[in-house]
Amino acid sequence: MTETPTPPGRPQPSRPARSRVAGHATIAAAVALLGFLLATQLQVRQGLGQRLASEREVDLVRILGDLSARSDDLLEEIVGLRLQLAEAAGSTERAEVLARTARQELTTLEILLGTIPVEGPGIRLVITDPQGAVGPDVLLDVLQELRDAGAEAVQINDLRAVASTALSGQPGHLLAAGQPILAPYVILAIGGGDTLAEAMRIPGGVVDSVESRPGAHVSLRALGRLRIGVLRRTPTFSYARPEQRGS
Amino acid sequence: MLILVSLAVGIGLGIVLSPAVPPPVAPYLPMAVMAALDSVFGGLRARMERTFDERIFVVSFLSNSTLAALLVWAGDRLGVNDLSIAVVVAFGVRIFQNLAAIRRMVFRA
Repeated sequence: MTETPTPPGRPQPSRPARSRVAGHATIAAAVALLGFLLATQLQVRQGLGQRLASEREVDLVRILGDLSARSDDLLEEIVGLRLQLAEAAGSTERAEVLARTARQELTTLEILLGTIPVEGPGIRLVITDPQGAVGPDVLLDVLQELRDAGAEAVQINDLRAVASTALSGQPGHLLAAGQPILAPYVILAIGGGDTLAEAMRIPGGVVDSVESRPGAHVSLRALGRLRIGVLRRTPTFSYARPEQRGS
Repeated sequence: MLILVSLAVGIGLGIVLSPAVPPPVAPYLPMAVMAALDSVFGGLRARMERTFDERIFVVSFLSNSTLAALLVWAGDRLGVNDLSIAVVVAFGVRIFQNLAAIRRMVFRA
């Protein structure tokens, strides 16, 4: 400071009494001014906006700098978290799609392999063979025709017929997958019931060829809902191995 | 008594009017308040020491307030940004000294 403020109230020679009233008035005015300033200043300090308005430029620049840096940090954090979120959502979605596809494939394969019971519309075909005239070739023809007509699951008597089910034996002593099966042969097939029935009844088709055998008779019925059980034994593979990819 | 009444009147006026302080002036108002407080306590002390003179009181009150504010303002213009601290320290020390003197006279301790 260039000038030390004058210490107020230093000794003074006594002054005429006439100025005392004026003196009191000026003191009162000064003190009132102080009160006024105090009240004003106290009100200025209230509220963030007013507080900012009362800050000096340097402080304002510093405050602005701080806030900008903080804002930048937070923005970076937001971007980082958004990226993480997107990645997580993406990987979850991919995993879900993969799992769904895998489940569908598994179900398809299980139906094909006959390891799960299935149900649906289809036909019930009963071949009576009192004279033992029906050979494995006839049943193979039936199976073939059914598959050709779109049958998705087939059961002969209580045996699920799948890709690996072989039909063999002599007429009257038929074997399916090594198990003897006895007449009457009850064949269930899941598929379009009417389509399957039509395919069986086609002239020169299954029905005709079975009934050409002595004593054999076919009865055929389309059902709205039938159930086919599981293969008794899960197939095992001794020779076939998945192809090694990329080697 | 007169002093207390006029102080109350001043505060009342400030609250009722609640004048908007223009932003360029706002940083310097606290300096003026500090200087005014210093003058008031100085005057109180002088009065208790029976050396009070109203002319000096009024002049120092006005000039100290104005000078303090002007000085800080000049410091900001010159790039001396923390001159307000000098004002706060100078007047703060004087206010405490005056208060100590008043306390000694009031409580004789």
